[in-house]
Parts: sequence; structure tokens; C-alpha cells
Amino acid sequence: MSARAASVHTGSVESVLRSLPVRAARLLDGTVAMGWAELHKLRHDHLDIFTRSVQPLLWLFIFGTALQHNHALSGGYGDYRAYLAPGVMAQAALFVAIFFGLGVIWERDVGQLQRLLATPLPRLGIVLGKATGAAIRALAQAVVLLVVIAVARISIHWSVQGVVGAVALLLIGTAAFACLSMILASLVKTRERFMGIGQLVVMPLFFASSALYPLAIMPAWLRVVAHANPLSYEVHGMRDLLLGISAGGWLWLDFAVMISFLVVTAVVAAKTYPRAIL
Amino acid sequence: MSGELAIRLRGAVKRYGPITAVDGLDLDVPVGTCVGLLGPNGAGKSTTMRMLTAQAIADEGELEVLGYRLPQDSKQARAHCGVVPQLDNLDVSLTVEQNLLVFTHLYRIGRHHRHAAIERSLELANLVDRRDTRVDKLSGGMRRRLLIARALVHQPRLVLMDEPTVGLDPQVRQQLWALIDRLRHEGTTILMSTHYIEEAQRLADTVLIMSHGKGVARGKPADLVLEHAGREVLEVYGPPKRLAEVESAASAHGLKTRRTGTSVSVLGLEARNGFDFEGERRQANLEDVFVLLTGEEIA
Amino acid sequence: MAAAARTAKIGRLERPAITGVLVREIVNFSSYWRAATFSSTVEPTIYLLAFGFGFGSLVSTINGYSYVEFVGTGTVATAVLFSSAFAAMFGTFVKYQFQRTYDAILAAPVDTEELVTAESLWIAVRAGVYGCVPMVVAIFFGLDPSWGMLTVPFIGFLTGLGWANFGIMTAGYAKAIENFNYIVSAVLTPLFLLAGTFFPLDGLPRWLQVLAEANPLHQCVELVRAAVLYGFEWNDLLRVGVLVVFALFMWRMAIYAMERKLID
Repeated sequence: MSARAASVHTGSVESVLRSLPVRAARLLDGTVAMGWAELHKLRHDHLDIFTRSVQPLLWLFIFGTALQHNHALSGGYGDYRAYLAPGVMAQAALFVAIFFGLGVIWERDVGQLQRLLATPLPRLGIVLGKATGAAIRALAQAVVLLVVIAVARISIHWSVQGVVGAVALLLIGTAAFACLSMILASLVKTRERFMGIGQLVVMPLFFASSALYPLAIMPAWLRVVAHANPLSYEVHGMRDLLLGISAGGWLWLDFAVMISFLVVTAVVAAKTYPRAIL
Repeated sequence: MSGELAIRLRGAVKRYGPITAVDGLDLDVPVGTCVGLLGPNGAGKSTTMRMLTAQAIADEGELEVLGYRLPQDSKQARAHCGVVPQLDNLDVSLTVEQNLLVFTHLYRIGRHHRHAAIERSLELANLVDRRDTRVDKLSGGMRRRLLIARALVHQPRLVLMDEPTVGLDPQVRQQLWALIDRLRHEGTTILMSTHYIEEAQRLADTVLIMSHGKGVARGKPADLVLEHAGREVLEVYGPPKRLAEVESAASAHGLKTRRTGTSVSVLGLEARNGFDFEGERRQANLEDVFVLLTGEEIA
Repeated sequence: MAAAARTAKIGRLERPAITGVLVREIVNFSSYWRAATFSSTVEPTIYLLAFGFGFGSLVSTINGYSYVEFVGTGTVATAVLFSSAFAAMFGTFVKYQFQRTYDAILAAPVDTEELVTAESLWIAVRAGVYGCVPMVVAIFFGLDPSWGMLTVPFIGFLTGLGWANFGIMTAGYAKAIENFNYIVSAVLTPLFLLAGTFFPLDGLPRWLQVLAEANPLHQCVELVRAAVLYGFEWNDLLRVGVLVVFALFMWRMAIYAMERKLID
């Protein structure tokens, strides 16, 4: 056994601990690099942000207005449109995130996936970088929606920590759902099947959450499902920060759930990412 | 006198914006013959084919197919035409037989004759034992045979083939040539566009050489060769300087030359006119004619 | 020798041509019917269940009818829209772009008019059938069966015809498959939301309600509700009229758009 190999074996725990800052730095580097790449892509698609905002706005202004004065639907808040606003923002971001995986399939088809994997970027860095890209898109969209909400004078509480906190929660959620989407993409493999599965995932996620109406009015079985749905926590946290509705939940729990969701999906996505190659 | 014409084009013009794809084309295809449309990519062959099925409407000129005027009566003409396209447009999720079945309906074959028509086409294309195979499982050569079988399912009087053997292996190409030859002998009129000299030489009764949207020469392959390139050719290889010497010497003796990248061919050598150079003697061929007339390399 | 023997006079919208294209569609359908059925029925059913359960526990009656009755009839229009507009848009575009199917069909004695007519008829038939699925599901959740339900496939067919032609027209004008996102966001979503499918339009400002009257999807919803719940009135003839005009107008537009695309 060579002297080098021997030295690697002994004191292995110390060596791992010593290499931690190096690995963390490399991870950060990789994430930032991928993030920039995604940002570049965004510049080409800026029209997309506006057109993708149309759908959530239509929901807010048609659906929301039609039921505006329904007390029960807004859990007693009074203005259903304001109640709906965070739900609609989360829906818009969810859409961006879930169909992000399509980009992974495209990458595989053009060979970029293989090239990325051949670089020294850590897998987790690639995944986090991409998730950041999705989050940035969602950020742009959230800004557009907030501007419209302000102009339409929908009554949310415009406090700095409220808006920043809500947007932060939205971005964490988006990043996590983007990782989920990447996991789906590496399992599903063809574009058509992904679109089908994507629809199948988005709809229940959206409807079985508190995005449209409070958990309290759901039948028991639906409430259980909604409690297991991370989107419920994301929307709940946003409502707490933007409207002051806490409905018996806790803001710290919302953040905790979303951050752990992100960690879990990111790690799994990093593991499954190479499997996207056929 | 002359027999009827299956296709008659006079002065056909087709423009796509600033590009004139077909620029005053005259074309005659007598009934019962096989006419080859020979030209490089971009010569306007595919556009001409599209005009014959009224999938492109000519900007100027007279077009007649099987006596019907185009584009007004194109539908009637199409009922008697079979079309083998350059690009595969088969239904990939269907079987061979299903593809043929669909086209028996589209070509209005009566219920009682459909089965026989499908059988006949399968036999002609040698796909009988592949009738239940899905198209996406077939090889390129088989798919091309199916395209031909599909075009013949209604026993058309005129068959239009756009580059029928492009992209296929030599052996497969030979098989298809045998198929096309068989059609010729059965009296089907064929218009075949191609950029393969050998294909035109072998299968066509007459050849129309096309370049830049116009016809530049027409006749039997052998006649075209004799008229433009003579009987014998001298091919000289060498560095560019030497080739230039040969060219100037040849023209000084009143002989035509044509280039390939690495050699110069001096045509019509039998009328020697005192020309004397070292090189390889060979027979004149259609490629010489083509390059001479169009100044283009053929792929 | 006489010129080429003439076949019987060939005209427009001939039965053999339309049948031929229909045969092609039907034979092909056997290879993707599972995916088509899934996408046409699952999403509307999810809407039905999600709103039925969510809203249903809050809203007991709308205009005198239970929420199950309201949403069970409303989502029929949703299913019709999804199975006609989307199928027509994407199906047509894919056939044109990737399979060059239309080149093969138009080389036969079929013209664009017959091609478009056959394809939209087929999609409309499917829409009529798929449209009934949410209604049938609602029966299991409390919607009372009625004789009027037998007319729903026909209402779905007529509505689906217009939307199928709309889809084909859109595909005729689209340059890339991404263009459809704009149509979905800017046209289909507002029409879908302004139809009274799963929430009533009473709470909306007057001008939006007036706009909704011009929405073919809204007419479809009202006709289905009339068929199943209220019973037909003379007014409903007007609604049928709107759908017929929509179908005819879109039919000509679809043919125009496809001719532009397919014939140079």
C-alpha cells in the first residue's frame, strides 16, 4: 500500500472536516456559475415573464372579483381578492417551477447535460444553480404581480418585512419545486410524457392546498392531503406576512417546512440528475 | 405523330419572395416514358414537383397534367397520379398495411377492390411479410419502398418521384431501381427528379438537365453525351498549375474542358485537333455534360 | 386518341375525400387514444372534484340549484374546451411540422377545405363524448340524472366544432409551438373564466357579464344547464345560434389559415 493511500485512510474524519470549507466554497462557486447561466437565458425570455403573468392575473381579477364579497371563502377576512392574491402568486411561481424540468430534458437532447456533468462542478451546485434560475424568474413574475396588485389597490399590508418575507418564502418554494421538477424530468425522460405528468402534478398541488380557500372549510380527507402539501405552507406564510392572517398556523413552521423541502429535493435532484441521460 | 403528353409545362415560373425557384421551365413528359429531371440541389426540381400537384401555385406559365389544367382541375389530375415524396411522410405509429389502407380511402378505391389493391402494392414493394410491422420499426430502405407502394395503390397513370433513392445504401438503391424499372416496363409514365447521374442514365428514357430553375438541355442520355461531350475524354490529374496549362492548351485546340476539384477532363478527344497530353482515357458520360452545361459540381 | 378519360365531375366537400381523412384520423386514434382520453377527462374531473368539495362545503345553493348541480353541468364545457381547442392546436401543428402528414394527404385528390372539415368533425365528435365525462362523474356525487342529459353530447359536439376550428386556425397561423402559450393565456383562459363554469358571474361588473354573453363557452354552459336542470326555453335557440355562427365563422377562418400554410 503506498504511503499516500495510507495517509488518506488514517485520519479520514479529520480530512473530511478539513475539506468541508473547500467543498462548501466549490459548491457556492458552482451555484453562482449556474445561476449566472440561467440569468442569461432569462434575458432572452423577458417577454415570457409578461405573458406568463396574464394567466394568474386573469384568475385574480375574474375569479377573485366574482367572489369578492364572500366571507366564508376568505376565512372571515372579508376581501376574497386580497385573500386570493398570495395564492395566485404562488400558483404563478409553481407553474414556472414545475415546467422548469422541461429545460433539463431539452438539455439532454442537445447534449448540454452530458457536458455539464463532465465539468468539475459539483452536482448539487448544478441543481442549486438551476433552482436559483427558476427562483429568479419567479421573482420577476412576483414583482409584476405585486405592481398590478398595488395599482388595482387590492388591500394587502405593504410593510417592508411583510413583502420581503413573503417574496423570500415564494422563492424558496419555487426553488424547491424546481428541484422536484428536475427529479421528475430525470425519471420521465420524454418531453410529451413530462408535459402530461407535469399537468397531473400541478393540478392536485394547487387545488389540494390553501391557495384558493382556507383549510378550515375543506372536507376532512382533503384537509389531511393539504397538510402534507408544501404549497399550503408557502401560501399560509405569504398570507401571514402580507395580510396578517395566521389562521392558527405558525410562520416559523412555514419557513421550516419550506427550507427542509428545498434541502430534501435539492439533494435528491443532485442524485438523480445524471439519470436524465437515457 | 407524337403521342399524348402526360405532363406539359410551358414557361412555368415560381417565385418565393426574392428567389426565383423555377424560371421559365418547359417540360414534356410523353405517356409511357420515364423522364428524368436531373439537377443539383436548389435547381428547382422539388418546386416543380409541388407545382404538378398544385401544392405550389405557379406565378406564370401553362401547366397541364394528364390533359387537366393546373391549378383549376388539379384535383382530377391528382386522382390519377401517384406521388413519392422526397421526405418521408408516413404515419409512423401505424403499420405498413394500415398506411396503405388509409390511402386506398383517400384515392377512392371502391370497397370491393381495396383488399386486392393493398395486396398488389405489398407484393410490388416486397413488403408482404412486413404488413403488420409498425413504420417506425422499418429500415430506411423499407420505408422508401412503402412510400412507393403507397403511391401505386390506385394504379395511377402517372407517377411523380422526388429523389426516390436519396440517402440510401447502394444495395438498397439497386433494389429500388429494379422496382422503378418494372414500372417502366408496365407502361406507367414516370417523372423522376434526381441528382444522381447514374440513376438518370439508367432509368430515364429522356433526361432534362435543370439548373437555376431552367432546363438547359434535353434528350436521351446517350444523345446528350454525344452532342455535348463527344465520345472520348482525357482526364488529367495534377497540381493546379498543370491543370491550368491543360485547360489553355485544350481551348487553343478548340476542345472543351471541365473541372472536378482534382482533375481536368478534356472532352471530345476524338476530334483531336493535334492535342497531345498525358492522362487517363475514358468514355464521356452524363456527368461531363452536366458540369459543362451548368458549371456546377454535382453532389 | 381521346384525351385522358375524364372521371365523374369532381366538386367541393366530397364525401369520399372527407371519409378518407376521417379514416386516417380514426385509424391513428387507435394508437394514442389512451393519452387523449386521459388528458381530456382527468383535468376537468379534477376541477369538478376540487371545486365540488372545496366550494361545495361552503356554497350550498347557487340560484336555487345545489353546487353539485352547478359545477357538474359547468365542467362539461371545460371538458369540451380542453378536448377540442387543445387537441386541435397541438395535433394540427405537430402533424404539419414534424410529420408532414398534410403533404401526403394533399397529394391525393383531397383539398384543404375537405381536410379541415374532416379533422374538425372528428375532434368535435370526441368533444361531445368527452364532455359528458364530468357530468357522469357528478351523477355519482349527487347530480340527478334527467332525460335532458341525452342532448348534452350534441351540445358538446356543436361547441367542440367551433373550438376545433379555432384550434386549427391558430395552428395555421402559429410559427412555433411556443406561440400557443399566448393563445392559452390571452384567449382561452379569460374565456374559460368568463363562462360560469364553476363560479357564477353575478358578482362581476355589468360590462363583464355582457362580454360573457358573446363567449361561446358561456352559451355552451347555459345550454347544458338548461338541458339538465332548468329545461329549454325559446331563448336557448339564440344560444344555439351563437354556437352555430361561431362554428361556421371559425370553419372558414381555419380553412383560410391552413391554405395559406400548406399551399405555396
